[in-house]
Amino acid sequence: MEFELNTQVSTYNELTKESLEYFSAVYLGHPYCRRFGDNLLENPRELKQAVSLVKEMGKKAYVTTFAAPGSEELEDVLRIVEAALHAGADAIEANNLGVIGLISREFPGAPVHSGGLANVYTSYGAEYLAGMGVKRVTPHYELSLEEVSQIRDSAGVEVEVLVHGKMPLGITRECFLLTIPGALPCPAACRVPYWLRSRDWVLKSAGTIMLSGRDVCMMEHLSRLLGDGYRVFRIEAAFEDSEYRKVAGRIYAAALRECLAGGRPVDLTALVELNGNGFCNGYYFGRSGREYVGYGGAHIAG
Amino acid sequence: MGIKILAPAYSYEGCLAAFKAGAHGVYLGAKNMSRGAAGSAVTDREMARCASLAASLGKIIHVAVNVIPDQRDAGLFVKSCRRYASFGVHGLILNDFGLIRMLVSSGYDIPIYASVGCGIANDADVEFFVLAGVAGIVLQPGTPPEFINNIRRKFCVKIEVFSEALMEPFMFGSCWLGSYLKMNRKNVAGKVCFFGSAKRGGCSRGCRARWEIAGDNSVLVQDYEFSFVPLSLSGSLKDYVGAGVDFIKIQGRGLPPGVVAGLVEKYSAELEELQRGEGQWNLS
Repeated sequence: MEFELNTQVSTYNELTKESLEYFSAVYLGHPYCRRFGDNLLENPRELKQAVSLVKEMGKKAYVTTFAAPGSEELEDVLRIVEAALHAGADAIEANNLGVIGLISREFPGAPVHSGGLANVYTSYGAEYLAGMGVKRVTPHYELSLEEVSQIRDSAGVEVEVLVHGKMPLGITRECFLLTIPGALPCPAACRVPYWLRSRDWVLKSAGTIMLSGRDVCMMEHLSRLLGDGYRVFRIEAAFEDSEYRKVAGRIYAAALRECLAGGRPVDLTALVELNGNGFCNGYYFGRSGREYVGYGGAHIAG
Repeated sequence: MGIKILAPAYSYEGCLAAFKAGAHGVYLGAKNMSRGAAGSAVTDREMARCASLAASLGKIIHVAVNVIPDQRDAGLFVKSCRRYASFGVHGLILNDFGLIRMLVSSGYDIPIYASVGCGIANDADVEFFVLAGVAGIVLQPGTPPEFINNIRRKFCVKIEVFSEALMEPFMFGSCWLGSYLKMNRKNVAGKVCFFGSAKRGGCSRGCRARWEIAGDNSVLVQDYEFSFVPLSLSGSLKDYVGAGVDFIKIQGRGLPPGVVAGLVEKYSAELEELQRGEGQWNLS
């Protein structure tokens, strides 16, 4: 595999050839809210069609699961997993440790990816999950690249890294937007951006999940990531439109190829236009998640 | 075993006050190894004194070792856990399932509790942590008795619930907003500390700022504050006792000893009243 560039698609209608052209794999479904309109995870028939469509496009189809299910929702999770595997999904993504255990027990041998919310902070955790059938791990967002490398080197599992998009920061008990006067009602609210600003801080609320207001951007560091041996990259786009996926996908796919050929792409212009709030690089350089460190270590205060 | 009251403390004096007020046990934070403000944790020496005191009174001590360290500090973390155990404490509260698993599989014999930061939210999560080897779990504030009753029937595991706590807008164990806004990573006492991270050090509490909330075209709310709601099980303990809780726990290792003692007395009295009134509850 040269590299895998993947993204997330929540609904069937967003599965357009144009927006997914540059991706080699797609995570299907919306993990954060069951009321998200047309969520593929709420419609097994449509989910199966989506898996087929993605595979017809020549891409890998992964199916995600609810990030924080209650006990009463676990049966539904199992139904989704069963439908996904029956449809030929290449892997199931789980962000909840209990769900990982459940899949391991109920569908032994099913390939599982543990998502960024599964609290994998150490290689000990990754190793333990590998023993339960987890093939790929997204280490917790709070880890630095040095720590991510330790997991990859010690645990013997494939590691996926977020290279672009809004990073999840926290799951709320209830939908945040439903408590805000003047916000659109459910399920329309989380389809439009709502921003929280204080000082020079900015967050994006998407209902039950709080996201970074800035886009994580690792464009300037792709050479390092490739040099460190990473080959699976995600553009987080659960709440973005097709245009976002199309533009970010095109730029990153080209940049990854250029890096592999020895080049060093640094033109961020088109990415800047995707989000007026600017960039950060998450925790990859051991700083506050909202800060941005450019190529060569130039630190641009967050 | 009957239901026990676990009180927080940050000093020997706090420990003593909690025990005098009727607490069956105290939980302490280990300095540089537990989440929360520096002043809410104890040194090794203080921990050893508290453990001796507890032993002399037939009480118990749990120690929160609930930062998730840089993996390069895992060796130091394990050494520290062994040292705390050597003081005679009765349980360690950990936050990372990988470290829990590593300690358990290395033959570590002190009971380990999955911290509230492990974010246990469903039956399958409980099963996951039980299989990982924990002796007990700390549930999220506000967990309903029905959930507890259900896991009591399914799993052999000690269950802790908060009787006094602050309900936060984000689920415990599922929030790292604080370190997104403000984190200072530096070496202290030979290990990397993550000041600002709720899961790895102490939360920056950046979310407590005042926020402007806006759509793309208009401001909806000025001066918004996230809501933190105090939770108290006072008056509804019966449901939790009936559900099979092992420990009720008072949140707040930084609370002054007098405040903790007052809360312990309140819950002791409620438990005694329940015992007298019902006769059917197995209370210690």
